[in-house]
Amino acid sequence: MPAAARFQTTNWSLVFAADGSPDALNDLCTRYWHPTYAYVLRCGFDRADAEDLTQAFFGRLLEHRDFAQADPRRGKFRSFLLGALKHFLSNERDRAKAQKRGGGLEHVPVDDGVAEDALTPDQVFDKQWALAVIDAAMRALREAGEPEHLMPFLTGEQSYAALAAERDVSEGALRVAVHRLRRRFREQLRRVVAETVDDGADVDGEIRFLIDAVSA
Amino acid sequence: MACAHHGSRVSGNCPACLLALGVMDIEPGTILGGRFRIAAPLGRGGMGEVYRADDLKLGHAVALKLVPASEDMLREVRVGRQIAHPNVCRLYDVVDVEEGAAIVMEYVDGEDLASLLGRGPLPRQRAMAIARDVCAGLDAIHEKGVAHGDLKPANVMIDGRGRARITDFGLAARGGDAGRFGGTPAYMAPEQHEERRATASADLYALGLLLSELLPGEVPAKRAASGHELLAAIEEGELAVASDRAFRLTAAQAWLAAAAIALLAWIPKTRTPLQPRPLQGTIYIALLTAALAAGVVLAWRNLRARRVDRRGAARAALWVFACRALAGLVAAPRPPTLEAAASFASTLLATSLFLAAEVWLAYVALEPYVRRDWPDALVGWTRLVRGRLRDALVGRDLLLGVLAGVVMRLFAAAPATPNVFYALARAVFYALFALFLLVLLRMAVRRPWIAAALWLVVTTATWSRWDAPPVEMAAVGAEMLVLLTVLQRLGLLAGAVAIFTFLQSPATSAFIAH
Repeated sequence: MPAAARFQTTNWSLVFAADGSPDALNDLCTRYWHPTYAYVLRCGFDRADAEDLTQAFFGRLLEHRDFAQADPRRGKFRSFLLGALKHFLSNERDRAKAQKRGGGLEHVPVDDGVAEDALTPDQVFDKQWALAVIDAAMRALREAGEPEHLMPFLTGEQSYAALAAERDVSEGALRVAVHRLRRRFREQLRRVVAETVDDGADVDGEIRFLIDAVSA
Repeated sequence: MACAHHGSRVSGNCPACLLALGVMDIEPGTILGGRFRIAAPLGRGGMGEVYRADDLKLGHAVALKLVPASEDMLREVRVGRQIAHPNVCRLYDVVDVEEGAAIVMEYVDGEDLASLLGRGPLPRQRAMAIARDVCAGLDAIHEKGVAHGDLKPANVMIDGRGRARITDFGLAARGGDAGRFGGTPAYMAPEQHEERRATASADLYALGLLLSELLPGEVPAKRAASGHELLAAIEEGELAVASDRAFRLTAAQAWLAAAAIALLAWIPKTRTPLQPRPLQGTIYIALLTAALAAGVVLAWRNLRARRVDRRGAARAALWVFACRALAGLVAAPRPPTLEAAASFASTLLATSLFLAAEVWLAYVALEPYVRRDWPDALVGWTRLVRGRLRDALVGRDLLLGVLAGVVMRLFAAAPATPNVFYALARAVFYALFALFLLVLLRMAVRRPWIAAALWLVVTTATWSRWDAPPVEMAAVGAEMLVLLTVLQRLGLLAGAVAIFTFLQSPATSAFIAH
């Protein structure tokens, strides 16, 4: 199956439409669970409450597919999710205890480092979002059977000589393989980002925004 | 070229660079800015992709670094354009292109030093040539008041003729400018983890690591994943291994190892580039060995004969110990971990004790002979250490010592010793060394003027470069003549004060300028 067919892009607004696939919606929410949790944590909630609130937020999102003050028909998924989350938290903040609702979402393991970052909640959200996008693209590469040992070479910071000697291949062959891998990674990255913007032309701008976010 | 971003890694990759892959993929043949035809990707720098391109207007190959238009990029070009040196990659211009902005750089047809070293150790001659080139290039950069900020093998390009060029000014800073913080953790100086800015001193540290990589065998930089790991490796004696290795190397390689170790000092101010002085090194080691052997014998005889001023020896040793230890404490950056602090403290204690032991030995060995044959030389010193600060003789020695130090500074091109405690410890140590050398020579040749001439030759040869031009050699000779006169006429105290004044060059130079 050609790569283009395997990885067809589905815009997030279509996933959120009333007739969108529940599995696709679940996948999309699972992918961005961590940035959402990191934002809640950075807002000052303790870990247990942050987990509960994140689960509750996605539970409600999956249930209703919409929030009163966020319009899923246009804009970026990142902006939509953050807007919806802020709206949700403002409503939930006054409650003594968040109710536990999960909606069958997969619970993603948490990186404890997010709470210690000296960043604003919005910056934490954007940075974790960028990492989630990379993670999704890398996972797609792995699922497509791309060689794991070439992954560290994606950004060209490693020496080819040692791996070439270890694998008994020429450096030239290794460079060609890495070049192809970069091209596939680029396709995956753009696909993942394209799913979160309403206009394909925004992909470059969104990636540049994420570069700034992850460099903060 | 590796990236300058920090933080978490994804499968060993920098996240910002991974994301950049999504937007920086230009096919060969693409013409940018109506002038540059992309030929091939060369690598990825801290802020963008680097391509080989043909300049269609001027008809030559260039390297294009595509970066987002920003103030950082403009600073990189402004700083880089100041430096024109055969061992520094030229920055030509910055142009607007469809992808944002492009820095137009000299294209070096070759490979970077990291790739070259990745294929195995370099032949000795070639390693030395590269070391010379990198030192010359960095010197040119520092001469312009610029700190590179990211010196490492991946940022040294070797062209087809084997000449090395320093490249990538993405993190460079000029003068007191803080610059953009970045760098490669394994090549960052310990203080950079706290100060977070590029400095010439930090460049010297990175140069030390780079030079050590040119030597055969493993080096700490290759194994350490972070600056803290590297620091731990240094603290745990990895560099001692490098030092031992020096004995199995040729003279030139041994100098390279010594130069690298000198640059890897933890305290920035003590990171001094070594001058190639193999002859002086041999003379110094021979003198030290002979002096130690003679000192032990003489000290033993004096102790048995009960003619030793034990209190005076203890005071001199205590003075040197306290000054050396304080110098280390004042100049050291805050240790990053408790282990590093403990390790630093034990190293400092050992160094200070060793220096103090040398002083004690020299004092016990020679002071009785000085007291017997040349009693005037120690009067001022003895009165000062007994606390007689208002003594006229002490006052005379202090004043004339300062004056002599100022006169010596008039001849000097030697670097400053800004740490006052270092200067105090070294002043006492050098003055004792100089005085006792003179006493030994007097005992050996019996004629004072021959002893003085020999003293002058030995000290001038030891403290000047072996290949120094005659004028420089004469200047050092003049400094030594002043010191000799002070020692002979006024004694130890005035000599120590003269050396202290000489070493405290910022204050002295300001005085002279005034």
